[in-house]
Amino acid sequence: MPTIRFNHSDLNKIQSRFGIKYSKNLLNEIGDIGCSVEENNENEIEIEIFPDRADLLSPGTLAHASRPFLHNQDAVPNLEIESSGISLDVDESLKDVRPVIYAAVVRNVNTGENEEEINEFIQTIMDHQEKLHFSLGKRRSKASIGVHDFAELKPNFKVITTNEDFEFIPLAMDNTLSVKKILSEHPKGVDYAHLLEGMNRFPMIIDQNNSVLSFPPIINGNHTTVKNSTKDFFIDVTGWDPRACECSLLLVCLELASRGGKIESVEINDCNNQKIITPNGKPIKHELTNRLLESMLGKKFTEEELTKAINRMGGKFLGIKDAPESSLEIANKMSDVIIGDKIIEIEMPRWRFDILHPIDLVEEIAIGHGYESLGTDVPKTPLAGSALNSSNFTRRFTTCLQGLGLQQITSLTLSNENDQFNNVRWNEKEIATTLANPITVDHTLLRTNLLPGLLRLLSANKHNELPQRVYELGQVVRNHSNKTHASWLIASPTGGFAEGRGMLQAIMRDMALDKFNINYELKETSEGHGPWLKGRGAEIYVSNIKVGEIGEIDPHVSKNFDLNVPIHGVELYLDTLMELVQDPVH
Amino acid sequence: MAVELNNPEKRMLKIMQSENDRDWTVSELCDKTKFDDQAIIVGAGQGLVEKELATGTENEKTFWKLGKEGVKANSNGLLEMNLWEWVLSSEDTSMKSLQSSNIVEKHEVGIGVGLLKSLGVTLEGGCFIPPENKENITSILLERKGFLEFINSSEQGVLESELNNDMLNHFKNRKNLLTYTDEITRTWKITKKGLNISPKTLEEKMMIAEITPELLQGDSWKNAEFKPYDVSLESNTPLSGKPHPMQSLIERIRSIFLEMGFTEIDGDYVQTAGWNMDALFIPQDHPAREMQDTFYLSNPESIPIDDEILTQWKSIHEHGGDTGSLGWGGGFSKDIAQKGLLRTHTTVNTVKYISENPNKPCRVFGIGRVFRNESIDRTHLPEFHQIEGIIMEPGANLPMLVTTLKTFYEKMGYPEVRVRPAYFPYTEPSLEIEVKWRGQWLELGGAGIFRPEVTEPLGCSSPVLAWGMGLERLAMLVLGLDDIRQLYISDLEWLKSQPVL
Repeated sequence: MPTIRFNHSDLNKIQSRFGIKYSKNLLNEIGDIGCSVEENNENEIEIEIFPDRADLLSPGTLAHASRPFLHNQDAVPNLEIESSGISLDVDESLKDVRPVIYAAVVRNVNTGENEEEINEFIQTIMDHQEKLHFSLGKRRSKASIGVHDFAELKPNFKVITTNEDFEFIPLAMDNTLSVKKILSEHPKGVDYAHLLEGMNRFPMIIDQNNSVLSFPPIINGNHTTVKNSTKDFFIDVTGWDPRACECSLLLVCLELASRGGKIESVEINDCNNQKIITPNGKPIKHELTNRLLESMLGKKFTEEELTKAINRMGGKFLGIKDAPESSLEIANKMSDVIIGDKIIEIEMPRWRFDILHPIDLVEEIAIGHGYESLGTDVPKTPLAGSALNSSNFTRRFTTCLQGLGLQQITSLTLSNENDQFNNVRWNEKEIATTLANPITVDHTLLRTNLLPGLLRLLSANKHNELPQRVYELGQVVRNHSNKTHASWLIASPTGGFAEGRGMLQAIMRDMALDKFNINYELKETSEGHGPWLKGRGAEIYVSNIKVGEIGEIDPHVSKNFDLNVPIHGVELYLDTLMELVQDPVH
Repeated sequence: MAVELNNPEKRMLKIMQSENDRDWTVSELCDKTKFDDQAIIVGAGQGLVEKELATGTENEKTFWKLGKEGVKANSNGLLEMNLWEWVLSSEDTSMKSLQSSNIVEKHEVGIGVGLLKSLGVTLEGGCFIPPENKENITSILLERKGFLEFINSSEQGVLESELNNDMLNHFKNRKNLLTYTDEITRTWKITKKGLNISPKTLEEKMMIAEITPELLQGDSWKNAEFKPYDVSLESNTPLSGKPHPMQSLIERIRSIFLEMGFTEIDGDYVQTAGWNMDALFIPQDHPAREMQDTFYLSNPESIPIDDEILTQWKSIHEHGGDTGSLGWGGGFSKDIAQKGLLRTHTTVNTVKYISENPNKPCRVFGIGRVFRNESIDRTHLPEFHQIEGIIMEPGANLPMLVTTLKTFYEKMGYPEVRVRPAYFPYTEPSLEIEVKWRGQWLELGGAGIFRPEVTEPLGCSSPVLAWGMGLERLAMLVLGLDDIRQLYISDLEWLKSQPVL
């Protein structure tokens, strides 16, 4: 989740412009709007912003949302915008290159009283831009933002496409570079070249003098760089997703406006030859049925409650109207409107990218009203709970193992080819689920047996006293399906195969095989199969179906796990065994 | 009044009855009772004193033995005696002659001369001159020799009271000639009451330490005494078979769900990106879906999903389908949806369960492992447990979710629960659960109502309330662990020391 950190003094300056007496303690309560205050010290505050709240990623935009939420001010869901008289013509060729292009001008921004403040401001604007690039822009693929020093530009503007030999001086460079070079050599070019992959025309925003403002989504031109003297800004947002672009533009404008800037619109003649005026500061009118709201929140709301809750969340409650006669008779979906519904009309800021569906308005009202003030309710459907079918079997099995004095352990499912196959001589590589992107050589696949993990555990416990008696009952993955296995290992100077055989007999008796005369037998394993010592390893069959293996661990195998004590153990396929036995209670 | 006596007490009293009016020492009693261990006599004596059958006296006594120099003097002769004999027998008694002789070691010359002078020998013109009365000196020296021999005669040393006081004082002042030890000596004397105990009472009974089957098969144990043990002493702790504490915690949580009428479900670790993420309306460009957060598979690299479902997800993601949602915009890849991965949350079980039972009201839960592409360190593991519960029924709502959560956490032992807004891509409204744990608020899970983009394509028309939590964080808190690895790569001594939860 993105995190923002800023000085109290900066936020104080913004809020005082709106007549708010700043309180850093009150800010601790901003969390309930959709973020989490991580640190709030004497000078600074750090807030983690939930991924859906791209509208809180800078001091100015957070301040805007906090004014109605924390300070009871009237919400302002719109931006005041005048026309700049400036136009931007988009060439038709952008259609397949970067079709969405919006722009705005913000003048007279109060960037700070001194150099330190101005530097801090520039850093804040750059951070905001980067966070928007990440959250709304999806790393510039959906939207990318360019902020320019308006004083250096000569309107009007054009967006054209060029070939790869086109040259200009990119940001922070002294010489011209071709598009081709930028994409292969400039750090930003290398980072974002994949966004233009397969294209032979490249987007370029230029002014009246044919100077390059920006080569979106890669890099700005050098001469438009924001400087300490910059007070007027030109902002472009380009991309593929109109909503992401629109919200990004509005949020940058909102941040600058919170510092006294006056927003002016730009007339865009887009790639489809349609005229649009951006940014559009008007709020979006949403509709929500009282039925959805009340059923989800289990409560009826008065108009006063709605007004208050929606205002806190930065919107306006407009009123309630009847559903049209033409509405559906029965609702199938949450968004359906049916005859008899009351429709609640709400205005929310256009930059609230996260409002996708009426259900999002339900949450806005729930948060605005307070989660803890909604009352109580309990499930109504009479239902009896039941455990997994296997639960009695595994419970009985665990009881048996613990009765044999074995300590339960848990180990990781992630393992590797050596431990699972080579080191224990079980050759089943083809049934293993393998990772495409492992991060360590120890974890490249999912375990197919539990026993190797137990050997690893004993290896990690070499310094502890003997005997060590451990078991694991857990999931392995064979042929990409979960299976339940059980395994035990006993590292002890005495015991050996006879002890293990005896324990198996106890288990089989306690699992009621004897009671139901279910036959089981042990067949010696062939040499070199599995971790067992020749002549001291066996496959276990119940009703002629293999349910596991038992034996003394071959010292050669122990050595693979850096162990040098006598060990014997078992691997049992519980899913298979469960199918073959009877429940003594049934 | 019957007096209860144990065997050693009986035997000791019997001995003391044989000669009344005398003090018995430990060694005398050992001798007579044939007990090898003095501690038995001391114990029995104490018992008899408590029962007023004997009186006990404790004396601290000093025993003197020869010290290092004393042993030497006893075998080689006293230094002053050797010098005196030399003075008497030498023609040249000058200091020079003494130094060249081998009568004394060099470092002893000074002390020796001092001793001679104290006996009355004078040093005139560099020569030792004996006094008139030579016999007096010789007898003093013989007395000294005799004293040392007397002390040497007893191996355990000679009691101070048996020694000549003047001699003792003389040798005490000389370095390393004598050493001493203080010993407490106990003596007992029978009382009148002790004398009156009848011989019958003093008959000893058989004393049983370990009870054997052979013993119990006979009758001898019936009149025997069972040796009392010191019950306060610790024994060896046996190796015991116990559950892993995290498994116990899982069992407790399972019980709570079952008590609350929830049915348990499970599912495979191997899933598709489609069911794990797309079905949950997690956009395909969501950061959690990237390679550095999720384990994708090389086998199986992809798993086919029915095209009808894929098409539905595609339209929902791109423009909301017919749910009335705007969708995420952008494109949706069916190939990405069919990629194989290790499930990143147990919610994939839940959503699959709903897709199979879209309109059957239910309360189900699952506890299982999930996987994230994390390096192992003190607080991270690439796999951990998630616990998840859902309620689906017509009319299910947010207060019902909050009330159920509060009941759930109260049953876990955390009656103070509060909820705050939160964000998950697949729930709306979403909330975060905090419980009061030993005085502090602790985030212990997330919850919410599944979004219509999740439930409606599955044909589910009732709200689905869901919550989940991680298990390991709680396990670490309960067990006081600061390293999560201890749970999966356990030290067996640590596991042994853990309580059964």
